[in-house]
Amino acid sequence: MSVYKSLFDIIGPVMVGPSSSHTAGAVRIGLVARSIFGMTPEEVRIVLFGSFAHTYQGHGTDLALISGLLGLPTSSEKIRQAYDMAEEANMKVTIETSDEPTEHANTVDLYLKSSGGHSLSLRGVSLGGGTIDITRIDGFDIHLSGENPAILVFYKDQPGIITQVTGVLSKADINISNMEVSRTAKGERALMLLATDGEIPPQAMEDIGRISQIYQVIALGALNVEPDLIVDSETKEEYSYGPQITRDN
Amino acid sequence: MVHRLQEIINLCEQEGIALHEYFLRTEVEELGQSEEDVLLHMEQNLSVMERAAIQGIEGVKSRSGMTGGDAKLLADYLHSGNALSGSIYTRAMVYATAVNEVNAAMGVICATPTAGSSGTLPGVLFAIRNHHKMTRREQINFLITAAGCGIVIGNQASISGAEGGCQAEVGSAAAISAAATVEACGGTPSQSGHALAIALKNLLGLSCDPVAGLVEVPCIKRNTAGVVIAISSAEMSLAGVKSRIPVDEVIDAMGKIGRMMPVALKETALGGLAQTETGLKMAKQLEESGYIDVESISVQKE
Repeated sequence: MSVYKSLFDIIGPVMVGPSSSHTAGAVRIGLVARSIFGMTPEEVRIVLFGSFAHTYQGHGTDLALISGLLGLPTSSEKIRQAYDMAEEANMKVTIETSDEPTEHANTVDLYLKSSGGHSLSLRGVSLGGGTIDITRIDGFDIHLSGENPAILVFYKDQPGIITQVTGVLSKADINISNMEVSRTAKGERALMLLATDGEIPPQAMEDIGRISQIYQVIALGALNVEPDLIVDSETKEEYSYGPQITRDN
Repeated sequence: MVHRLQEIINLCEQEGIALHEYFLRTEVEELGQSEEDVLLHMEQNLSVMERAAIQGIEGVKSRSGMTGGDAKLLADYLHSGNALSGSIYTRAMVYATAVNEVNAAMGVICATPTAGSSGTLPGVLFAIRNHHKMTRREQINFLITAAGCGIVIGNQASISGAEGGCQAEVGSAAAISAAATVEACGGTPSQSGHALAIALKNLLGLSCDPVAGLVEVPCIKRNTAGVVIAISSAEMSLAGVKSRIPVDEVIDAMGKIGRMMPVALKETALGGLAQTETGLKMAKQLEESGYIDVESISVQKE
């Protein structure tokens, strides 16, 4: 079994120190949260668990999460100035720690809010080496690594929706690599997560959005595992999430 | 890449090619990357290491307050002309400390192979490149050889402190640096293998016991000491000294020791230096105030 395949698994990645799990992984959780939220949130509540809660100050886990929420890459030197940048971006941040036990040592809950009733809650886990897993979105249990493009579909649980969504993707010649469905209760609000091999074309997003009983569709690009250029604050967008389209019904 | 390191060494010697040529070819063939892209990417990583080294020598401070400034002390010491161990060793120590201090201070680094062990390899490379007047391409070759050997170690044993202790991090970093140094100095692939084995043997059993769970104490100084092990192992091998235990068996031993090691010594801060009287005081102060005032805790004990 070969875990390491590329030369750049050893000489790389380029990242902000000091820890791939407590810093780089935290940036990526923030990036995915930002991407799902679709904008810079006005209010953020961060609740840290386990090792995150005990060592976040020394590892800059708080700075890393805030930077991710602001769209900065894991290799940005500006991560150290995260609080100042949050202030500039009018993002209000509160940090809390909890000693409630969690399944994984490095766990964080994020609660994002913006005016107009826009809100999102999300649980992220840093698995090590910068690899992450988003395990909960708005109360739905799910697994999202950010490594592949994906679409999130919020809909009313009823027969036929999944077929219609996958039908649109099939028509657009998009291969689904992984699929998960989670619901609050039978016939209630549900979340479908489809990881795909390619980016979702805008037309397919339109078509999915038009399916009745679908509340919201969010397309996520793949998180860049590694920047291919040395960080430059001027070009930061290059490293953050890929194209993102949200369609609300 | 599933080969044992000795198989790769034999193959290189049969074909009359250098290790970096084999590893570059494999990267291109197995990952479908163009040679140009691989070299460019490696050069970018090299630039990141250079920037980190410069930043560290200027002097940085970690967020916890526990570390920083030692690279500057070492650089001043080097320039004083009183260094006992000569220009290459002391220079390597300066750069290794600098890069790992930058890592602790949340600066941008290139993992080699991890963030916690990001100082040793650039330390060795930057010290020998001046001495050997290595071209940019030769420096990239150094990185490729080190990376290729690291792939083998990672797959055969471990490069993670949580899995194998510090021997898997700084131990691996020193080992791959030694192998690449031998090649850069004109040694054979076999000699690179012996250097890797000797370096790794000298760091077997090293625990990962970071104070307060932070990648600072003792990580930075272990990166510094790692360069000395790397260069001395390369010197031994270049002189014709051979490892009595074959390289792959040494790598396997490292993996096995890592699995035998108690969890308390694998990045959990539950044992070793993390649980010393001073280590615990530092952890307590960090938890209470978010900052460690090393002066108040008395560093003389370190």
